Amino acid sequence: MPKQNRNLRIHPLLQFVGVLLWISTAATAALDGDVDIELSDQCPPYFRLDGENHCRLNTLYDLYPLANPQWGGYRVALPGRRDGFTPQQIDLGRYLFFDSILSADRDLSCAHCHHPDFGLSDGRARSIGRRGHGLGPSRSGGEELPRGAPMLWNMAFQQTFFWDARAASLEQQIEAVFETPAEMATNPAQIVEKLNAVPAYRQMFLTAFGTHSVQYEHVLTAIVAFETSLVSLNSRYDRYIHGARTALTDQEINGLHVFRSFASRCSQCHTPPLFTSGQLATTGTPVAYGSTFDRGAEVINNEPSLRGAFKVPSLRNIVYSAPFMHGGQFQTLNEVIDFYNNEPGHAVPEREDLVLHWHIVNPGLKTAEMADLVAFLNTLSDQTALPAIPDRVPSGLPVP
Amino acid sequence: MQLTRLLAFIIWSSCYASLTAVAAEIIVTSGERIQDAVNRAVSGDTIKVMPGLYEETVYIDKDNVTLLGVIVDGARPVLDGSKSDLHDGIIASGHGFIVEGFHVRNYRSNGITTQGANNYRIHNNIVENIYLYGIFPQFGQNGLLSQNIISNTSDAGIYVGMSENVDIIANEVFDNALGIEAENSHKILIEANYVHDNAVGIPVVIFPGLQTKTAADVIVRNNTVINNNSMLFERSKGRTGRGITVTAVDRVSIEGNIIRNNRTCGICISNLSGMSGLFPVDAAIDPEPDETLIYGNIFTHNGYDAVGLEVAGASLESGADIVNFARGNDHCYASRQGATQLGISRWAACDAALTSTAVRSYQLVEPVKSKSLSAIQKAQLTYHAVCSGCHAYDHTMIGPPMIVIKAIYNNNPEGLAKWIANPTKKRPAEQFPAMPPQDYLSAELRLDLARYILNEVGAN
Repeated sequence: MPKQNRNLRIHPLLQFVGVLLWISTAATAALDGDVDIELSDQCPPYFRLDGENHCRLNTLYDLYPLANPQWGGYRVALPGRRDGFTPQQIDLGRYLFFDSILSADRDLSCAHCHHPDFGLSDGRARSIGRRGHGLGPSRSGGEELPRGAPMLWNMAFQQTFFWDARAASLEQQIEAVFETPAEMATNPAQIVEKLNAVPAYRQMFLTAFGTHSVQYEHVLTAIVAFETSLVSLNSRYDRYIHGARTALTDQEINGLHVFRSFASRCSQCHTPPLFTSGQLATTGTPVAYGSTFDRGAEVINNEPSLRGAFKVPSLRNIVYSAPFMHGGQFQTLNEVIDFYNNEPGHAVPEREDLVLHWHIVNPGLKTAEMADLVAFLNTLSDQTALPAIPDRVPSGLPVP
Repeated sequence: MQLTRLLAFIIWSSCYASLTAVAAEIIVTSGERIQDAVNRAVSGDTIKVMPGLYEETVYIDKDNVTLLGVIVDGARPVLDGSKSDLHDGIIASGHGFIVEGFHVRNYRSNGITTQGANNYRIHNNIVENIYLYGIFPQFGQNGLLSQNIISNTSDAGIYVGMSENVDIIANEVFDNALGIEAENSHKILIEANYVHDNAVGIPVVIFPGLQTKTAADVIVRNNTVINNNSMLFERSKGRTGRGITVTAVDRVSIEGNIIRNNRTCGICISNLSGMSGLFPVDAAIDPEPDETLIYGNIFTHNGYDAVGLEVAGASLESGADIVNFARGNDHCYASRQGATQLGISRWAACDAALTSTAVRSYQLVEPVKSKSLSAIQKAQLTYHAVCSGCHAYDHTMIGPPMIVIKAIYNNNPEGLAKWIANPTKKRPAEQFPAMPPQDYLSAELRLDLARYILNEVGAN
């Protein structure tokens, strides 16, 4: 009781002071914005600023033991991650991410295919590259790309990138998009020249990297810094695993059991806590509507047994990534589960002889179990760290 | 000196007594649900289950819970999945999980499975009629599987997948497709098991397409591996008749086993090319086994037939006690085992100094632990791992800024800790979404977290 009294006595005054401070800082930021774009000096959500101005990711999974970084599991620590960028580098990366100045025609930014309004993807079966108009499912015109845009959550933990896992780093992934003719169709010299011509960018690169002109590798670093800051590890599923039994309903817990049962084998490739093993797998999906058979990882590896193999995507925030699979073959999670709950290879085109992953088996799930599984997949959502879309970008180009 | 020792002992024993006093025993009797007891249990508790029929899936997603089947006049608690057509008998993800004394039967998936649990013990259970694996620990380090009896699983009786430091001791495994399988694992001791009448007795393998790319240091020692010629299961008919198989795993020591009457081979050694067509080529895996050691085994009457054995497309007429299809380096075979042989004539003679005698167990002396953090480090980590998702210091994100919260709870960490566990709506829903309860954080951590928020959280 005395404690409460004391609390009541102090509380209104301090709250008033607090709110005043809060309002005044918000106002300063808005005023500054009109003059110049100031880079944030604060780390994004889930990152802690260390003594050397580096942002370090913190997750509750770090409180668990890590027996083997490759395995995964439930109450286990996460493997090594890319972090340690400065708040300024991350924020500069955010502006570059939304700025179409990077592309040859100044009409395509990273965000066109990885947009916060569409779960860091674009809601399309296959993405549209250069010369497109609009965003998301209604984006039209322009060059259609062969595959859909993957979501960008938890890239900090991944070792390979793209559906066919052909990039061994985020830098390689970004450079491939720069260079691809149907996408940004540009090159390092062009990018550096254009950015150097924008005084605001020169100032931002000076703040973030201490160089007076824009360096190409810093462009890559800044975008990597931003992309690795997009973390999703606080879903209802995570709270359940950390011990909140009531965070999941009975139906969702049943779905978790179906998910991790060796009959269905979902968790064998979509291994928690990242919900991907990071491996290539041939699942034998049908040819996407309006497309042709995609040889997947066979091409880059020159390995026939990887024909039709793709990297296992994470299931975190999966409900926001429809349509599903590399070519948008399925509209709903029910269709996805129907596909897996069937004879292996049933959708493989005739004349294709694929080496399906050995975990592709017909689990013989019942209707109720399939519904439970969908309910469980809905618990993997956490978009609290969706980035803010900048009001404007230094180039003055429209922000997607 | 004596006195200090005595004093130390008294202090130690009183501490120990107070620690153990915290752990509770929960008794479950026939007609009750085991899961209800698991839901009530906290770390350190033992759930004693009396004999009776329990038709449920028991799942343990918390640490240090013991499930103890109480055996009365030979009667055990029975977990049976047939009535509701259930997938798994027992699923554990918590570390320090112990299960003993159960009879688990009639499940569509696995009998007892762990995923990602370290420091576990699965002891003295009877597991039968399971569609996939009888006992299946996966993604874990430091475990013991001992004195279990497993039969009639249409895949493996015991399957240790992507694991490390596991002892598999004195189990009886029979009438399964596969007896005891170790897959993509390291430091596995398979000792003194009775493995009979399966299609394949003890397969030691590495499979491509999984996240671990090596498998090594498996000891198969002092087992009785006989009559593994089962035709019970369709999926294993084509490779029945094998005692012990090694597929591309390095440093497998096969010592002191009695290997008798396995139709195709007592020991079969192969590389991954034998699997082409079934598995994709995984460039990260060395397809050949190295350093297989075969020492001091007793072979009798293996390889009298040759089910599925082929060399360069041609079927063999008969197998042998030891059949090798692999290349690889530094294999050895010790003489005086009297084995009939195919494909090991170039192997060196084993040096007795290379045997596994020195390894008594692969379990760890100290359990696998988390990184050690101080109370304030834990609080700091939790603040950034959870709170910072919605709260910034001086501006509104999803929730109100910390500067406002600090003002409300000034000098009242207890009040803040209490509120974190059970947040109630204070502000309009259209302005701020409801905060989820953080009651899964321990009371101690919540208080440390509240102190951290009030004392440490600042502009940066």
